Amino acid sequence: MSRVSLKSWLTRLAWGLLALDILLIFVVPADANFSSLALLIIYSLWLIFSLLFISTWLIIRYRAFFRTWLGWAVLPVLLTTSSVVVQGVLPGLHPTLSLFFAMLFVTSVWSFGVATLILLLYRDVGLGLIAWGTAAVVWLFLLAWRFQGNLLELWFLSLNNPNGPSPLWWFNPLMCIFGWIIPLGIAGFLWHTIRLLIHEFWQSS
Amino acid sequence: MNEEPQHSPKLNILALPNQTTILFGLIVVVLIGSVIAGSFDSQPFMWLLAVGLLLLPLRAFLDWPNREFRRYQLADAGSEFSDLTHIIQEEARTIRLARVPKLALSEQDIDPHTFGSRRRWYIGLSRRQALQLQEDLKDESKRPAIRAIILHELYHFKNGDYWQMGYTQALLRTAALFMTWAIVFLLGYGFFLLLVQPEVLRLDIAALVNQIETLSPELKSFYITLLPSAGEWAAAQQKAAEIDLRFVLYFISSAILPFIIISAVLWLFFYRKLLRIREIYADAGVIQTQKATSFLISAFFLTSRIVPVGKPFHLSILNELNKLSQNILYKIDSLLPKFVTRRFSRYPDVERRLVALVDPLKAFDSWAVTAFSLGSLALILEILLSTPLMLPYQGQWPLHFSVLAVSVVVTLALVTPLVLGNPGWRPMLKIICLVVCLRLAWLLFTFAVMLFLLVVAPEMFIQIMSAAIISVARYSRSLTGPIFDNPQLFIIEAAWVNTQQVFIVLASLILLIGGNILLLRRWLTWYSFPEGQRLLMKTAYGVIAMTTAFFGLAVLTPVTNFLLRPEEILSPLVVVGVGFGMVIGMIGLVLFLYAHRKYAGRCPRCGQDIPGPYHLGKSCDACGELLHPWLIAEYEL
Repeated sequence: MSRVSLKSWLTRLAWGLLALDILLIFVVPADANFSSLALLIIYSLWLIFSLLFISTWLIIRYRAFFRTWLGWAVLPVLLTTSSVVVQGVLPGLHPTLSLFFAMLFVTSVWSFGVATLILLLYRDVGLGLIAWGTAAVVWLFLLAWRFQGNLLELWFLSLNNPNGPSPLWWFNPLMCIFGWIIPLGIAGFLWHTIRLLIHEFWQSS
Repeated sequence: MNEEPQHSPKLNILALPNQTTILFGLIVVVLIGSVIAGSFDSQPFMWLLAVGLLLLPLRAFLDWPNREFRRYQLADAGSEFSDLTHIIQEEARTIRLARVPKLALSEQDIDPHTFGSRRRWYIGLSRRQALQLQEDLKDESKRPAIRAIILHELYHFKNGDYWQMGYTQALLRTAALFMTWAIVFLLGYGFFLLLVQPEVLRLDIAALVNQIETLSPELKSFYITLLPSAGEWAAAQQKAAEIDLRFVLYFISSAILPFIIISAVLWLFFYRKLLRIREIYADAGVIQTQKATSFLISAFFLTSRIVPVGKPFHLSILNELNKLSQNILYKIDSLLPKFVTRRFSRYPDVERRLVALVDPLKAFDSWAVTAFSLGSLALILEILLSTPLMLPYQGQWPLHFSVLAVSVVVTLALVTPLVLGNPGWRPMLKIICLVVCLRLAWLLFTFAVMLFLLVVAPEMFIQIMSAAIISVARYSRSLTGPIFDNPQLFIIEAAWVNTQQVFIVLASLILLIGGNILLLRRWLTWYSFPEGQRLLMKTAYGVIAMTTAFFGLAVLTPVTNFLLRPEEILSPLVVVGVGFGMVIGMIGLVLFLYAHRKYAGRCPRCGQDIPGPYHLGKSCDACGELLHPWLIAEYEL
């Protein structure tokens, strides 16, 4: 099988699996009684791993879009939205939709990492991403403290209601985003520096 | 008697200290030097800033070719431009360039320009212009003009100004980005602390832990043991309560804002000046290689024929917007006096380039412009060093940086009048006086404002001064009383100490630059110095480096200690510094005297003594040998 056809075969497979997974999520009731625990585990693992594979391949396949700022920004938005829903900020959500958003959250956390990796592979913006990211976080905390009140107290109090909506709904996606940006930003900066040095002192000699 | 040439010889400006390099050095010294000086005996933040400002521009400089390729969508020239690339190779060999630059072409309308990193050199052209040049090459009468265009670009590599420009560009960009980030981040952080402080001061973490219902009592007590004890927490809160965070904010802005403003000034005026001067040096290289000015003058006309090309829709919209903004700028430009608009231009006007071709001396600014540029840079350095981050250094060594940096640049600027046979004293005194007067004027203005405030609004004056002193001194405690008992006395003392410094700087500059002039006038008579063309100017740099090191260590160090810290004048650091300076001075003097005895006033051809100081075009009385011929440019007008 040639390389090109493998690529298109994998892409078709990924879209097909995505359609299948969405179908499964919406057809199989989220609160269905599985005949055995093993079946439940297999079903959950299937959804998680297939979605991780699908998202990884599709981001790689459509990397031309994801290495643009617009393409990259889609994923933090997706991550924040799914995280907000998963944390129960929207009350009375149907269990199927809850499962859908839970899967979306898991997938978007991983996809954000892959998209950031792609962005940093093509663009030398690692240091800028870390720098402006930290500045944005400081201002986010400042604004949150100003409009939401004492964040420490809110956090302690939210521990009393682990199943209810958290007022600090923005904190989880923020941590997920930063969890990727800091290590990948440093790695991207080093990668481009090494590339530049090789280009300068090795390839140009 | 010396034989005077029939026409006055033309100065070879390429043999003299390069003004582009001097300007580049000054910009780097102002930005990086002041940060490194500020790192002396300072917080890790300053070291981080210094290392960042040093290395990030270097990295950006290595990335410059890639950025240019992306920005102008450049591509390597194909085989259809083989004639043009062949000429580039030929001319690069003619002027002995270390490597041959590649030709990179863009579909956009771009000016011919050079760019590159340390080992990757490129000449960027628009494809349309490259085709035009390739066509013109078929016309024999136009070939020398095309060679002049190519030579002009190649001389940017030969003179080294391409990397100076690239590094300066990267340095200013990094400084601007870094400082913008720092102000956004630190102000956010400062405001956050300001907002959080009252809440944190009355926070009881143990009570909060006890409020968590989902924790078992054992876990609660376990978590409480991990937290600071009530006593420690109270002490920390007490300490936090003593911090007046308004001063932290003031400290942040007063430390970073001057950097932003000064980077902007360097970019607006000095970087553009660097761009203008380098063109004149490249022109000088072309006429010296082609031995005539006519080809370069024809080249000026050839390069102005860029025909606009068809562009994609979004680019044509951008082009229209660009044209509109340019038209508005041209309108503003026409309203401003020419001497103002010239300061902002990235290219010298053709008139100035032509004048410099006819009389290379015109490539140099007048003493007043040199002194004003230098004085303002010295003042910028002074202001930068007086910001809170740099003050620990400036407080200890207030004289070193400005005296040494100014003296090196003034000495280099005076090499030209010395070569022309001018004793150099008058321009030296005029330049030094103007440089010092600018500093004095700034001080007097500051004191005038202080006095005015004291008379008109004494309370406001005391408040401003207290805030400035507290934040600059990096104490963030709340004020419990007035910072000084007698404001009038404070102004008089501050005025006295600072004005005194101006006169010490004046005396130091006269002594050091005067000493350099004495040595350089003798150095210019080393006619029989072997390989003078290649090595003599380097010996001049060595002389200036030695006198500067000697003066900085053996004179300024004890003087500063005597004035500011007399109890430390015999400290090991000062004694070792002075000793080291004396050793450098002695070695330098012995080497200088040895070389002077061996090479001075002796004809390199017949060995006869040649009395008197050097002047451009001087020759041996006995055999007529032209002395220091490498200082003279030979070409037809």
